[in-house]
Amino acid sequence: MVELEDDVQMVSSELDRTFIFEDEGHTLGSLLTYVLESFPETNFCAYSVRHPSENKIYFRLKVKEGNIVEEVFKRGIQELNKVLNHVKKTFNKAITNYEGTK
Amino acid sequence: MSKMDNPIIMNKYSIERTLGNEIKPYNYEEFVKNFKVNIISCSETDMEFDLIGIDVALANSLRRVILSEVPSMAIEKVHIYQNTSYVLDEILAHRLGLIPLKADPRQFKMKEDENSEPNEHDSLVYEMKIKCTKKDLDALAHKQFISFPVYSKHIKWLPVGNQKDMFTENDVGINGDDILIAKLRPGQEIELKMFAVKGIPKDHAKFQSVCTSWYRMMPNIKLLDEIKGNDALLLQSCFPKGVIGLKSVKGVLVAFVENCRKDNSSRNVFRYKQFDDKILLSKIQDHFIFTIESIGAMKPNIIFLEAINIIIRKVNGALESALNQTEI
Repeated sequence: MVELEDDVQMVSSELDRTFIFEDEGHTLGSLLTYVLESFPETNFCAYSVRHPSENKIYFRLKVKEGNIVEEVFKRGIQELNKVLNHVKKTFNKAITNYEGTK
Repeated sequence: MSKMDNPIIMNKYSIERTLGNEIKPYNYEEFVKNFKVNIISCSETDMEFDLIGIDVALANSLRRVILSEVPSMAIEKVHIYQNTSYVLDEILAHRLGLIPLKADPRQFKMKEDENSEPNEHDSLVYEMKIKCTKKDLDALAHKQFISFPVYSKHIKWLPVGNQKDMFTENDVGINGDDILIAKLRPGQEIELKMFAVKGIPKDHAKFQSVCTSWYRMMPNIKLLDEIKGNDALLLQSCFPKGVIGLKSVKGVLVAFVENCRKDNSSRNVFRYKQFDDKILLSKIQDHFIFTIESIGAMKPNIIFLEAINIIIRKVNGALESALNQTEI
């Protein structure tokens, strides 16, 4: 099998990193890109599934000068947690209301 | 409502995305302000609800997780002691695996070692002993059926450890008692023991806790011009029942949009020339009509909450994994 890692930039820097998430797919990738690409600090953000039989995603995040890529990533995760908890809370409230009116 | 408020327009032959209405970037305050959940209906097995003000990325992730990552219980191993029926051992085992169980997966743990002895926290054991005899044939009302059907109601639950105090047959038994498993001729018998474990549908479809789950975008229909008389009747027939209503204005029938939600976006209306430029069909891009059809082990609203919990766990797992990655 051809080494797929070859074209991944091996130089790690504070501004540009490619994370690899094993056992993940579009479910996680699209969520992360959705939140992270909206940040003003982000220069570039995308993910790819290199090959359908490879069960991992390559997630690249590039940030603007003066930021640290890990910090921006961490903030993205915090934002996602906030969103998901809000969805959960709102849904629970809607269910309670619905069951109350039934 | 103008074209600008309807970013996804359904034309005769194409779907058009109008410029200036691309999906808005994420913003938490905006999201909290706009996000709404409306429950349309919710029963033990079916649920329809609206997610308004949500991005496709989130709606689709939820759907994907519900379909392939919410765990449930299913029969995984079968010990066959006797099978003289026409159904082959492996096919019989596969059929048994697909039988839905009532057990709530939240009360069980994932089995850590596949080959370990089943215990009360990770397994459920069932048994089936059945033999077709002449007497059984006589008992059948319809004598022309010469095979003795084996149904899921013939499966018995065997409590492991202290499961007897925790559950009843009603909690963990088979969901549905008329699932046909095999048919026996006189003298044939089946005797087997089944072991159910918790698993995720990514590994095997038998672990799915939903029949299916999907979303669609809210359709929006706008009449740009008054449509009267026979044309109004024709227009009404282009849509499912209840989408277009008719009212009588000075003795003339006039069509109006009654309920967009019922539309299935067939675009039948474009078959008729007289409606060109008189009607605007579009989709509301942040209004998702979400449907969950549960198999019965968990209520659909519980399945949705489980899915959210799984995504939260996934996201936090990703952070941990990202911080541990030193290379690249």
